[in-house]
Amino acid sequence: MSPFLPLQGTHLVITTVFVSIFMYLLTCLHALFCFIENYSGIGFYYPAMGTVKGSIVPEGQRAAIYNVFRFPLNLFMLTFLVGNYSTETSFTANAVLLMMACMLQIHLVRLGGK
Amino acid sequence: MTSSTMNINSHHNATINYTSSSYDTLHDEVWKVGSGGGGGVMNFLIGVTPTPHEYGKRRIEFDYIYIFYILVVINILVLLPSCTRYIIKQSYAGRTTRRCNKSKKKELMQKDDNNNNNNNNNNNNNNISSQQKQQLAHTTLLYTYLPAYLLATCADWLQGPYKYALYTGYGYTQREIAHLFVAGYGSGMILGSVIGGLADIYGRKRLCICYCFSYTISVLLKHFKCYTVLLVGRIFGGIATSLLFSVFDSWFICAHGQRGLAVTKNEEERYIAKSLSISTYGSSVVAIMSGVIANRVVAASGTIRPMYSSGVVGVNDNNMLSSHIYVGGYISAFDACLVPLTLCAMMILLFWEENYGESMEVRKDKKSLLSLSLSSNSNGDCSLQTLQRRTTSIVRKDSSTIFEDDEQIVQADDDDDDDDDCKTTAENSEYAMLRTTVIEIDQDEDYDSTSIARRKQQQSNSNSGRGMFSNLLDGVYTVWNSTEILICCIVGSVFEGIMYIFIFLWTPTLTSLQMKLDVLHDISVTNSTAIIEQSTTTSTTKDMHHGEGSDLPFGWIFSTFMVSCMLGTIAFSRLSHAGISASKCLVGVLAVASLSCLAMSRPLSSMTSTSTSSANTSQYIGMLVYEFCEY
Repeated sequence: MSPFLPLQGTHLVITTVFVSIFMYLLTCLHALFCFIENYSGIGFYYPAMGTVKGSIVPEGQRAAIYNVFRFPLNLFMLTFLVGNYSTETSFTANAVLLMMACMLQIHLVRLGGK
Repeated sequence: MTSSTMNINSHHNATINYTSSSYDTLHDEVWKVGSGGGGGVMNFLIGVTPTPHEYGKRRIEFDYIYIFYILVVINILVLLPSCTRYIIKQSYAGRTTRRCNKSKKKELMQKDDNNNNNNNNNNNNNNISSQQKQQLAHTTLLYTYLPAYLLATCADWLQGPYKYALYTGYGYTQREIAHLFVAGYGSGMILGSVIGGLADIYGRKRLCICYCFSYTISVLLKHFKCYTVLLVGRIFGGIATSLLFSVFDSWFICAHGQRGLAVTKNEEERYIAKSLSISTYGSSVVAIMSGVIANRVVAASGTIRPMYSSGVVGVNDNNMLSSHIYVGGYISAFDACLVPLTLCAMMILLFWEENYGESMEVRKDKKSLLSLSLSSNSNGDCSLQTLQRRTTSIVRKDSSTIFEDDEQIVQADDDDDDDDDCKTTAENSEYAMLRTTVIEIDQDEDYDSTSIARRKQQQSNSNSGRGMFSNLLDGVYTVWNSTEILICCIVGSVFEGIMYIFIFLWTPTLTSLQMKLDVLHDISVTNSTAIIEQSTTTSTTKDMHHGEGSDLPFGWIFSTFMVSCMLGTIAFSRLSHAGISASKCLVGVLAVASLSCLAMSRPLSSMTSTSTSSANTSQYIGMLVYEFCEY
């Protein structure tokens, strides 16, 4: 644990409060904000995942393994394209899948901590 | 055709309907704000002041545009302190090159310990310079990598929105277009993975050039109005996308190690996090810019037409070439891709150095080493010698590449004498580590003729080119065997897959929501008595535009998303700078993303009045705050 953590925590809470006030003011564009939220998540995700991959994946097979990573991704996309789910269903499914991913990530953090 | 395939095809149709609506409107409506009357970037950024009679019509646009500006302002505000810090640091470094500040000293202490452990006798002075050298090396690496990578992403973003529009422009049915898209994903899945898997053996730089090459082919084939040719082009496009997201990254991360930025693991992670944040931020900026550029190019080049039709008026169907090659319209967006692609290939050729993964041989050696260490007989001397030979060869190979780098650094820096020293200390430490492992392995090791024979056999197998799949299959094997990598794989593919689904879904979602809101707005407007005059004007304009739902400013919304993307990147770089590890950050992001997904799935079904919507939102915000606090 870094000594900065409590500081960062308060920082985060303050920013969250600001963001949520901002969001509350513009309630009618609710979905847009969810999207914005998600896109900032994407912006956050790419470097973070890149770093994690950079430290976990062995150097020798890096490109090969990155391509292995893309295989289930493309499969996922094909399933989505072929399946033709309704918007609500796909969002709910996404939420569930992301929750699962979150659990797995927590597991990964624990593995790394040992 | 069987019923099941028909069913699938109808599914394609319905799914592509989303994209059709999105991309058609993208073409028709996107950037309308910006480029109305051939306006450019300046118009895109100005030209927002409302005129009274237009207010009702464009009201929604203004909402979105204001959000965009607010986000941009937040972005700038967040970025400002670090920018000023950077500038101050630069000027400071210019004045006093040899002095180092507190944080550097701290790192130096760590490094000192590290060096002492590895029995290196560098004095403090050398350490200071090596620290500076590292930062310099990092900067030069960024200058080498970023232009080429950003050009590559620019090529991707330029043509992205126009793919569907182009196929529609050629007059293909939705089913055919769906087949084209599926072919793209399929080829990305199979061919792209196989070709990308070769990068470890044949060199990642070469595969990056291969990206430019295959995208160029894909773009050139877009000129032909022939289904098979377009299909081939789409397959090449799929391969290129797959390469873009795997090979560039792996080159970049490997280059960090090659340029001596990987002395300790923490330091390496810090540098990698920093570089990746910068490259993601840059690609978001490029996305916005290339959207504007593509729109201008398409607007300037007129409609889609056969290449030789202007000269020959009569029917000339016999001439295959003239009747099948098309230019103008959406194709010009694809042509515009050729410029960044060529530049990118040139930059890669000129400035990048080649880097490989472990070659087959080395990996086989490692495997045999492992197997040797598992067996229990002792015959130490012989194996020690061979292992030393191997390690020295590895070190020599590394040093040769590093010396090339040094030549680059010499041009940038004045006193480069002790650079080699620091690099070699890194190598020495590596060598020392290898030696210790050798000695550890030595104690219970077996080096008999059978293992040599086995290795020779394996080498001959690999030399005979056991197939393109071997490397990929090895990768699958590694992923499957390591829990960490497997989890990483699952999380990554889930998140990125959901990202692509967002890209498909945001247009129809926002459009349908806007239509619902329009209805609500009409009701509220008729109920209110205070603004009767305005309500009449708005209702008339609403009647004109009612039910279209396409008057959402998609260009602005897209830019807003990209700006929020940048905000996320900044947040990550801050957190990683504060020393929170990336995998912990990911937990938070995944949780927040899943919550917002959940929130998004609800209002679509249950939004019948504004009150429930606001209730939902407050609930959602509560959850969000809770989540952040917990995190």
